[in-house]
Amino acid sequence: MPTVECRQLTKVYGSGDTAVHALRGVDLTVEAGELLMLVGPSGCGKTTLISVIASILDGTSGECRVLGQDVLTMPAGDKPKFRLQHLGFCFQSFNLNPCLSAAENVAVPLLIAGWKYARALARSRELLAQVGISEKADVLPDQLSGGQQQRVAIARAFAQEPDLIVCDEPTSALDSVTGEKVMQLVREMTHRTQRSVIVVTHDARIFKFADRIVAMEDGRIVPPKEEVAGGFDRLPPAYVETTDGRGQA
Amino acid sequence: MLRIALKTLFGHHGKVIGMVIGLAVASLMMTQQPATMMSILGRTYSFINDVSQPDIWVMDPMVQFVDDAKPLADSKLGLVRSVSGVAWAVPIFKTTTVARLPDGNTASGQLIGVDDSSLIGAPAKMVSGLTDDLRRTDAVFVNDEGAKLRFAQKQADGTLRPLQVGDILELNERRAEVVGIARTGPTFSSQPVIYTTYTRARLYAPAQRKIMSFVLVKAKPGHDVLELTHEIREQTGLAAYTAEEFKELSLWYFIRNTGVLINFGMVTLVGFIVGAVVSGIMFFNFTQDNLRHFAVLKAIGATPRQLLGMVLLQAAIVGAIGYGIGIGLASIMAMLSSTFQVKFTYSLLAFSAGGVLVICLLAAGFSLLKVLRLEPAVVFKG
Ligand SMILES: Nc1ncnc2c1ncn2[C@@H]1O[C@H](COP(=O)(O)OP(=O)(O)OP(=O)(O)O)[C@@H](O)[C@H]1O
Ligand SMILES: [Mg+2]
Repeated sequence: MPTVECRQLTKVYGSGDTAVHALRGVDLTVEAGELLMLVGPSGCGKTTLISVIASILDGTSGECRVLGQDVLTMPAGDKPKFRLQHLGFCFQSFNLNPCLSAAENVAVPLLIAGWKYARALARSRELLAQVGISEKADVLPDQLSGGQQQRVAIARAFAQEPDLIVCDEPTSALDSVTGEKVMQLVREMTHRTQRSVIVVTHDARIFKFADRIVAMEDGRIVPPKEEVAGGFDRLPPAYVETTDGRGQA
Repeated sequence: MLRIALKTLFGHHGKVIGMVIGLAVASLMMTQQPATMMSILGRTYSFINDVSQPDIWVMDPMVQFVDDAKPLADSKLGLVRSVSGVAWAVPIFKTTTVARLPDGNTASGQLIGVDDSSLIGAPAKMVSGLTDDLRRTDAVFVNDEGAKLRFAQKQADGTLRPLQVGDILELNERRAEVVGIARTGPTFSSQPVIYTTYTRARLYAPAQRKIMSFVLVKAKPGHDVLELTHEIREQTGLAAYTAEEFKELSLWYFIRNTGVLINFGMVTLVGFIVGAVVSGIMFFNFTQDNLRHFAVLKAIGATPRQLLGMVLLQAAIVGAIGYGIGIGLASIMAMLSSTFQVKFTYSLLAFSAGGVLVICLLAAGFSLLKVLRLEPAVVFKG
């Protein structure tokens, strides 16, 4: 079973004259264990798409199955639990709580899931060790560099061992070296655990970490050839050679 | 989760201090003002408290409050005594008089004449002297507040000497010897109170034909007090109240006829409003500042219940701290001020706690509206 399966998915913001058709029939499949990158011009609907997939935004029509469950028809009351069990988030601006230590920030999903504080914190420390900043566990976010903050955020995204992680421009607030390191980490964490990751990005330098790259334009997924013709000339060989939708990086 | 809520709260110490100050001021005013008012109003019926033995007070139907005694003919006493269910009935006299002090100065005071034989109505707590001393020739008691303040005498070195047992007063040109100092409740006008027997009081008071102010009645054991008041009313044509009813009558007279309730009520209300506005806005701002973090919690999977718990805990914590500080300040102020013996009753503390609770619920309520309506999708917005 693919992790994500969208069929003719649409999303309309507002209604009437001011309606914005952000998604105009998206067909997309993300396989288990795949690191997919979503690229495309500003305003084409990338953030909207991953928000619907992550069930933090209601789609308008079509189908969007995540782990076999259609998030469009899922009752609103079931969504928090679904996200808690199956989804992890990673943001451009990290979104760490400045009043909590790095370890406590990582522990947030565990605490929401009802873990005892001490146990959650012990687990957070392990996760921080995995992302390579165990020595920063008790430090507040504003004493960390951007790359370190994103590592904390990644540890948080992986804390609940989700099946799917969505990242919106995780490297755009970081310098290129740091960005690459962070993506390297995401890549390792993903492959180690057979999780699916969707990364929205503009950052061509990190394309090489993708198993597959999908381009969007004006609310639709555009076919690969067009996509390459559209100027993504720095796409990795893995992408270009891919025929079955899977990379080999 | 709750730990996160607390850490987030105290991570914003500036706002917490603001909220706590707002709530402390509110609870201070909501405690101290009504307490002061209660203590002032309590003086309106302290006499009824001091005369503790009777169940029922009988008086002229026109009497509106305890200091408004309208003299009754002595014959009414027999009438009251003849009502079945009355165990005993004694007269008591209450008037104002002017006393000439040993140093020659004069000062006004209240004069109370109690039943000669039973001494019912005489003060229960004596600071010095014994209740029975009142039976001696020319004997009077003075209350200790009066003895220490208005009846105190200036000495050669300028210090004040309280009136003492053995001192001689002159009341209506007659000799009165202080044989005891009594502890009584504070009076509304802070006037000294002089106690003597009913017969002697007639001599000490400016000449009056009728002097009986009230008839004090005890119900026979097993006889319903409230019912007895009805019977007395019917059979004598006089007004009869239980002690509690009479206190209430006096209290309401003052509430209706003075601005006490309005004045204190206004200040209390202002305290409540200022506290509500200041801490409410601060709390709302605090939530507003943390909206993004609430959105992240929502996106990750926090349920509305968990978010509700977090906001309520945050409100409860600032509420509890603010309330504690407010009550503490009110107690300190009460200890420092000697003018009013302010008492913080449980109901008063519950009243101000209720006020703080309302403020916190309002603040938390508005914040929760914001948090629960928040779209988790904003987490991906810059
Ligand atoms: N809450 C909203 N209400 C109305 N319109 C919206 C809303 N959010 C996004 N849009 C519109 O939907 C379209 C797609 O927006 P979206 O944020 O998904 O684009 P994007 O591909 O992520 O762009 P970028 O690369 O700039 O982040 C845009 O035209 C945007 O203006
Ligand atoms: Mg976007």
